[in-house]
Amino acid sequence: MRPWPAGRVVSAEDRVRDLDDRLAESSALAVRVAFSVLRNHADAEDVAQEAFVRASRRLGALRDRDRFRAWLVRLTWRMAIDWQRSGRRRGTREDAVARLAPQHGNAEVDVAARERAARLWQAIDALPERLRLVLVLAAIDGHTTREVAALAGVAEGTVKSRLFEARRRLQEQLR
Amino acid sequence: MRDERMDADDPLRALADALDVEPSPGFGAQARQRIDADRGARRRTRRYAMAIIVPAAAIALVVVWAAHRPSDVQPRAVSSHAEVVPQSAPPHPVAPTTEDLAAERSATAVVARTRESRMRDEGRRGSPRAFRNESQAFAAVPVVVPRGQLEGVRQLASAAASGRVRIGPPLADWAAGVQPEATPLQAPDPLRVPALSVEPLAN
Repeated sequence: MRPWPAGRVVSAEDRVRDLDDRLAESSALAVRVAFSVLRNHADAEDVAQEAFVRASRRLGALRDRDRFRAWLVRLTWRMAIDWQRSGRRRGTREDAVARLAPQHGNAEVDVAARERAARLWQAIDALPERLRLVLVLAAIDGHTTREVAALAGVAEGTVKSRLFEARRRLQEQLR
Repeated sequence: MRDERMDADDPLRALADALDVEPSPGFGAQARQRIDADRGARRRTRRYAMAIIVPAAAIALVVVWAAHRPSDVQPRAVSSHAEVVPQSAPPHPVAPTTEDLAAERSATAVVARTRESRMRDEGRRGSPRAFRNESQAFAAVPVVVPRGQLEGVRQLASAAASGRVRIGPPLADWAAGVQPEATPLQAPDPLRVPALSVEPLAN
């Protein structure tokens, strides 16, 4: 909840400290959400920072920290998709493939691993957006169904059914 | 989603590993800088907007006020019936002062002298036809009555009596019926003179 009790005059230092706290506790989440769309670390950080800039304009309206995180996640997701569509990407999406298939020194193994990674990302990209967001949030930080529901702004039952559907489609495509 | 974690070949596990990225060490500081820059820019924008909008709004207000300012005179086109524009203030209940009358006289364009009177001054007489034409023209001669001032019409009647100007029967009859001591309030419908072209004075 908001760190300031009602009626208390909030100083500029309080606001700066509050924003810093929120930055510290939500940076990784925002970067990961952006990375799940952009698959490039530099771009993901750019988008996450931009999301923080926009979120900072609404700090007053988003006093509840949980609500702030949920709002930030959805904003970052939306901005990342816009960023990707607008062609502002600076780097390629190879980052994500490389993360899934690190080099082992054996050329054959490395190539096979990269192919598997590329197929996985393709399958994830093929998912509808509503399924993809739930899947990504479930994969990040080991969020529980309830946490995913809060972050995505949907009911818990909806999260479960979407997760089930996303996994089924992924397994079908990767078979 | 550890409670629903999939087995090792579950794509969700692979996705979780792939998304396990950390922000770079300078991420927070950079974000902070961008937030500060954004706040500064928005503050400047607000200031510039106020610097432009406030004077513009003030000017617009003045223009609107000037355009809708209540005017003392609402000119009306009057043709066959003399009609004087109602005054915004009630008529003065006491007799006008000398200064008032002087101002009134100066503001009153008394009826232009008719051609007949000019000819009379010059010792000439017009033909009956010319006189008829002038009589017809006479009705169209605009008589300018000061705003709501009975005194102006009295002066007109006085000028007509002295032969300096000629006025038509309706006005002459009307002027004859006005008691000399009548105030504008007491005179019966003093500002309605039929069959004369009367124009209210512009402000």
